Amino acid sequence: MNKIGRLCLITDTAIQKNYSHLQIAKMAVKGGADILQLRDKTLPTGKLIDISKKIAAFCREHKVLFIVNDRVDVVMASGADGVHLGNEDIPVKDARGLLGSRKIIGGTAHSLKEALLRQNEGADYVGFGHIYPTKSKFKPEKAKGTNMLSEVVKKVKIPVIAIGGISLSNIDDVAGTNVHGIAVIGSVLRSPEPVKTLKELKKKITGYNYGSGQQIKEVCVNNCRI
Amino acid sequence: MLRKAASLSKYGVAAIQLREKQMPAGELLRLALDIRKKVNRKVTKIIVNDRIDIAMLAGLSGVHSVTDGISADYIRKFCRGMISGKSVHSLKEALHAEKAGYDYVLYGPVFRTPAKVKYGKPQGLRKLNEVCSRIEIPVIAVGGINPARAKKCIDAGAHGVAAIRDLFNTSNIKAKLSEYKIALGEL
Repeated sequence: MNKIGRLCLITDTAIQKNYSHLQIAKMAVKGGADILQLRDKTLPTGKLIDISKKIAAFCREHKVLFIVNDRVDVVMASGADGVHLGNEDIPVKDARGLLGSRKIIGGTAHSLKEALLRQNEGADYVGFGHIYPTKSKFKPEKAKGTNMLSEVVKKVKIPVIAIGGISLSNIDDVAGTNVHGIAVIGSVLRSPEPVKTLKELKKKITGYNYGSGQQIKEVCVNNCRI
Repeated sequence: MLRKAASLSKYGVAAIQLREKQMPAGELLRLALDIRKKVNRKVTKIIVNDRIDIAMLAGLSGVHSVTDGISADYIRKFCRGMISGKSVHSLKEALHAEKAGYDYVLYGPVFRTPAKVKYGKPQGLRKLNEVCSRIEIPVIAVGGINPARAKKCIDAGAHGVAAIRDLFNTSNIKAKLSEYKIALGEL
């Protein structure tokens, strides 16, 4: 059994070329990440499924929750634990219909309103951001900051994962909002010592006494098959 | 796009294939649902490229796998009752697709087409004929198709033809499709 953990690493091979998706998965395990999110907008479907299957097996072995960005089809075919859906992806409700209740579905929100919407649609967690300015993804919106994050954390019942520009230099402020977890990309993948950075981030995010009453859904990592 | 789909169906097109590589999945799903409402599904199948999730959610007729795309096994497993297609560019790929369990192949480019110039010379009718004679599953010819060439493809053994430019650049779909009907005998 596994919970929606507190540290999520996203495998981005567009912002850097040093590590492959699988290498980043290994990095996640070594550094103590709880969730790995595979994000690739360019690979053909067949290749993406192949990679996803490998990472799903690896993550299952190491008890890391494995989430695929956007691609409900890839989750179905590869046996990943769940999907993370952006605002332009398949709606949460539709994804739930295909994946059932045992798969994890996360949704992106850029405002409190959107976060509550994702909750009502049946998302298991909400990714809120971006908190700080970031180069990892094109962002048409302004950075949200920790005040807005704090408000979302207070009003949303499902776990909130903060994303966007989070690094060791600002993790204390983020963790101080009592947010459930964080998702990181650039601060780890561009770090000269990514595993060490992950470990330090993990220590920081778990160091805060988290008890805001958010419901954490228990999920089965080993038997999440449709 | 929707109006185009509706009139293509009205004048007898057998299948519409959604090939929107860059479109976000949410938008593609809405488009698929809208097209489904517009076409006469007794006449026209709606097939989406690669996305079994979209096909299931929109209740489409099939999934088409591009190069390195979704395998026939997954289409069969998740999309029961739907047909599966595969894009192929050689006899070897066509034989492979048949063995992998796809229901039909899309073979091309048979003729020169601006969209595929970067991939080199078109395959030509002789190679089309070879593919058609070597595999049992239906071969749909694609690439530079127009009514006159469609006839040549059918004579070479193709089950049908797929057109993009020729159908989208015409202002009179009814007339265009009746040319195809005359060339192919039926649609």
